[in-house]
Amino acid sequence: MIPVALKQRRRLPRDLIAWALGRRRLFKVQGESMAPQLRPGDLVLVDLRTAARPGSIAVSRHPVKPGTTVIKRVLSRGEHTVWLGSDDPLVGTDSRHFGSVPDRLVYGPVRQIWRRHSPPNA
Amino acid sequence: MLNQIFDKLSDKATEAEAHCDGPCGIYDPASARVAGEAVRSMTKKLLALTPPDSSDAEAMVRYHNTMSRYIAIKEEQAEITKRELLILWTDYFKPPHLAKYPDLHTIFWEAAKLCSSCKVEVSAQHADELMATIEKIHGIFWETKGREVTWTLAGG
Repeated sequence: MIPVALKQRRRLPRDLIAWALGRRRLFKVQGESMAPQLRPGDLVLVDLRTAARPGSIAVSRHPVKPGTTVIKRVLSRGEHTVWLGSDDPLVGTDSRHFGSVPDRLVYGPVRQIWRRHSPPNA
Repeated sequence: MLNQIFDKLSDKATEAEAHCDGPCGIYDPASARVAGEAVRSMTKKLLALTPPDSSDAEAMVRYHNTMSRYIAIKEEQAEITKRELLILWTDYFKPPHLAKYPDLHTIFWEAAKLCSSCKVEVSAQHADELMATIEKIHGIFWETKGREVTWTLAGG
């Protein structure tokens, strides 16, 4: 289990405490549309108390398909909405297809990305 | 050991999808249109700003703050407009379309150039031209789909 960025390592104690207090939520990445930063199977810890800013990766409820959760990059912000995009626009479905997403559907920005450390012969 | 913790956490985590959950190949010039409208709106607001009396420091700060925000949004939305147009141009349109619309490349090239002008300048004329070009692309796009879709503006 290795954090992929140094910046998030400094935040780790704070995020773990916040997680214990119910202010963070854990999600698992499926799919390739956020590659190379996120790979299928990666775990992400999401900040439930902060609004996602443009540039950050956020987890949101799908605005059209109830019960589906999506992980995308926030490209811009409206008054009460965000515009979500895929890092690989050829692979993903995002705001180009489902439009802008109301703030209330967004869980929040990703604070920690954890990837499984696979042994070389696995 | 870390891998074991990882696997335990992984079992409990909610799945968040980063893949194509709808039929891929869904395109719509509306996303370029919305961003283009924002560019035009910010351009108009910038042109309508009147500087306050320079001796009023507080009003000056407010004025510069508002202007900076308008500029930032205009630049950002111009970039988005260009990117959305390029997606249509490079991913949606195929050689057979070009045969039917020989000036397709020119239209997109002009549209992309207008995005740049609107980003750099504060020109109502170029913002209007950008919207007119996006409307042209909207017309061609829906014609290739054999559908009639009315050009409607979010900003009215």
